[in-house]
Amino acid sequence: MNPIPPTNWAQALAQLQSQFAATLSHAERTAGTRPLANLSDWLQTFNEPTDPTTTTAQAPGLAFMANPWPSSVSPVTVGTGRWGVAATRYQEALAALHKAWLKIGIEAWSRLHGALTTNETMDNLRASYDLWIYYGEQVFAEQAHGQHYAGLVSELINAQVVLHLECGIGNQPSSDDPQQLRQELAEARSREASLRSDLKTLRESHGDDSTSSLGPAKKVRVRPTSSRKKLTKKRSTKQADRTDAQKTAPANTQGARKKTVKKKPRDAKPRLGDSRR
Amino acid sequence: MSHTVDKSTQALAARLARSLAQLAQLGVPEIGTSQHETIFSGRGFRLLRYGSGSERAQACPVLIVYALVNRPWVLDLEPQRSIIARLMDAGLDVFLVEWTDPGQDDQGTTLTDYICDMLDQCVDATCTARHETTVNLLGVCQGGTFSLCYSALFTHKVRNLITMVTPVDFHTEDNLLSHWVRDVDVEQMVSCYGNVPGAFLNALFVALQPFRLGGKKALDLADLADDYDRLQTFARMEHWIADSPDQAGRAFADFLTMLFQRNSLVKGQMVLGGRAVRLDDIRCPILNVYALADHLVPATASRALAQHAGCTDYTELAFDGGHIGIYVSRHAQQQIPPKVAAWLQARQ
Repeated sequence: MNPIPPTNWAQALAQLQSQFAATLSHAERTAGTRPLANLSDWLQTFNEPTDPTTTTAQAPGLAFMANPWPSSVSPVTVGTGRWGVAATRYQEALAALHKAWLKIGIEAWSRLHGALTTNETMDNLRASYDLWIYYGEQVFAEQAHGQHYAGLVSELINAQVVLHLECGIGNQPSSDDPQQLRQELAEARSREASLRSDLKTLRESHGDDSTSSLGPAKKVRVRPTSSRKKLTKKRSTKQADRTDAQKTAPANTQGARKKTVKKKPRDAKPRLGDSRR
Repeated sequence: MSHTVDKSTQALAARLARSLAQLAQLGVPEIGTSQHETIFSGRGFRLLRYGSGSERAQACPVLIVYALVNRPWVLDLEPQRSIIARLMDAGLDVFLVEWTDPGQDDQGTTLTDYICDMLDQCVDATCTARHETTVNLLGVCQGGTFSLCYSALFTHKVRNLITMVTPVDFHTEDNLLSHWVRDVDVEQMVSCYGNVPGAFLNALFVALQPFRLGGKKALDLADLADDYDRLQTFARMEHWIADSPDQAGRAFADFLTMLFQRNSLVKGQMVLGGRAVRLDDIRCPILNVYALADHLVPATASRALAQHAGCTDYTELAFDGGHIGIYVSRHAQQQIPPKVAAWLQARQ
């Protein structure tokens, strides 16, 4: 529990993270907690860029793709003929995402390096680490919102599913699923929808407002301006203390950037008099 | 500089080691400790009612609809971080829909089953318990989307609707998750797994902020050394984050395809049980609560509701925080429940 701190801060972080993850995963009170994405592996990616397959899949955010095999199954237990194509597809998808991650990592590292170089007073380990996180998320956000990255993620998910399918891994669909009952339920719902539609048509043909007979929505929909004012006044009276407190509360408390409670004016809903129905 | 970094490293290592040791000494974290009882249950759900005593009958009721993803206990993480407790403090009679884990036989459970059947049963049971004909719904995250669909289909049963960090427009530019799953072959996934593993979703959520959630969170633990209250909170949060239930395959596929991939709700093309779900059919008052720094459900995705809801009484409440912070941060505890309660009580 008392590590000997190494002199290199990156190694220190890697060691601490590794120790943290190990302790957390073994702690009884966090039973069920998944292992954290491993920073040490991520950092190692830069130390050993020539061995991508063993590191990148375990980089932050990719841990779930690190091993496509459930604990009880491994590639050697299934015949190659069944999963060869799927395995190749998965490896290619993983490699493509790895490439994107390397690009993100290198760019984040570059920005961090630039920041540390220009700021000579930056000798605080924690501040340096926070900067690494900041630039990492910054570059990640730039890349991850693009279509290219989205395609890489979805392809990796699809490839893993295909791999599992080819190998017969996963829950088989239940044989006693009450499909007939569900079908009948769906048909009943469809009949109900049809009847509701007929009812609505009938009501409209008799000049009746179908919605207005259904409860509170009626009050909001047809409420004249005068009654809206009355409601507002009533609410103001009932909630005077609370409202006043809200109005006078400081706008920026406990880290708040902005606190808004906006009441949308009636005129701001142009479709109200322009119902599609 | 090297000497300073060495000392800094030592200090950080010592603090982190102390935090880890103390964390290991803590017992199993208790979550969801507010007093409650199960008043109704069915296949796939339980309906809980919080508090006790006859005074509940005089309080304004609210039925919370949580998401299928993760557990609702984040709304009652610990006594001092409990949206549910604060809502009760503010004078509300709180009900909660707790979705139960799907089994092998639930692989075919559809989104329609959840919204038009199970949620409808919970609404009816709440009405019965309250001797009323309508409910106030508070939908959280995906549960908010469920609540919107329900309110559009069962207009006569919903008196007021509150949506909290609820995705409405799934195709806003900043919706990272939506971008990623747009081309996922969900039918193949469901045919493979039956029910979709919760662990898969968990990992995907972490992947949205990999540096913060994969690295910074671990090192920040060093700040918690000797602070047992915060260590307990940390352990509870980790426990909640990891405890992610599997998703009923068919319903998962429905949700992903209809909403994440086709964005059917805001396009007016969503159909449940043969009935069109149209947001402009919602005429009851709406309070839309969203988080400005939400990385899972961007504020833009939530605020789209203003353009599509058919009600005249629409209010927005912006929270300066993230998707989880809106449930558990002290700031949220002070801000959100009192305003939700006041909004509801003004419309009773």
